[in-house]
Amino acid sequence: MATTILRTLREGLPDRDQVFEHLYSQHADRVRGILFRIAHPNDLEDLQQETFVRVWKGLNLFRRHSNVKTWIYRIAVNTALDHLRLKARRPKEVEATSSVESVDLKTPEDALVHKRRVQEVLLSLEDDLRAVLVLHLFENFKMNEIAKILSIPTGTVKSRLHRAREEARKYLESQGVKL
Amino acid sequence: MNTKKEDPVFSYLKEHAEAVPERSRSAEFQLFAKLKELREQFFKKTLLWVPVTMTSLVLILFLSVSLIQNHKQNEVATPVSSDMRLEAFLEESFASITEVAEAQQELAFELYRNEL
Repeated sequence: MATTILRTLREGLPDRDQVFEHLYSQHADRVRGILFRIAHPNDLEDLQQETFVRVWKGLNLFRRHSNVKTWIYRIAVNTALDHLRLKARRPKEVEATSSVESVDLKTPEDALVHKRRVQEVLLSLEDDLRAVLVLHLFENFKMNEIAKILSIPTGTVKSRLHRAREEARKYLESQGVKL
Repeated sequence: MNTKKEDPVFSYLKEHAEAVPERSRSAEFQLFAKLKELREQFFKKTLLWVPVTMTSLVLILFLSVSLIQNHKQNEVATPVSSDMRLEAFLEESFASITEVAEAQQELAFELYRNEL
């Protein structure tokens, strides 16, 4: 009896580990996408670890009636936003990479310049706008799913997406990109 | 209306966005090592707190029982002891009074006999 209890304690909760491994295999790629585009790409691995540690810790507290997918992506978004707030380095990143001037890029380095520009656009957006844009555009979530993940009304999601698009357009046009 | 396909801003962003790096084995290894560490911490905390909590509970129980018993004993013992002390004092005082009275009586009798 005592041995069984000790073994259970030592191994943690076996069910929890199995559930976690399943969740990890199912959602890791999308979580990485969210973290990669909302926070800075260089911090991806650390943020992924932070997100899944939060998921693991929260599994016991997770409300069963909630949608597990929504819950995990909410943790990912919050981890990315927390990280940005903590570092508060977004202006530096934009400043450091905002010297791209070429408009019609046709050299072999074009792709790299475009990638940097997309990164700049994303980093230039406010956090809440970027979160909506990333979830909608890159992770293909529907409006109602984004609303659940961010705990905001669907109407707010739509208005934020509209604002994100307008700000991105202004930024790209200011960089000489013809749309 | 699918804004993602039609909107030029979205098209540009999607077309040129950098691909998300593939999962790295070393990062996954680190993650699961971290989780193992957390499990170990949980186990150690549990191992520490279970005996500490149990000992504290037993100690509190023992002290409470002792306190209650002591209180009960005091409640019963105090009046008896007080009565006994009072009784002893009265007996002693009465004995003294009696002795003095007897001595006086004897003395008076002696004087009376001498006068005769």
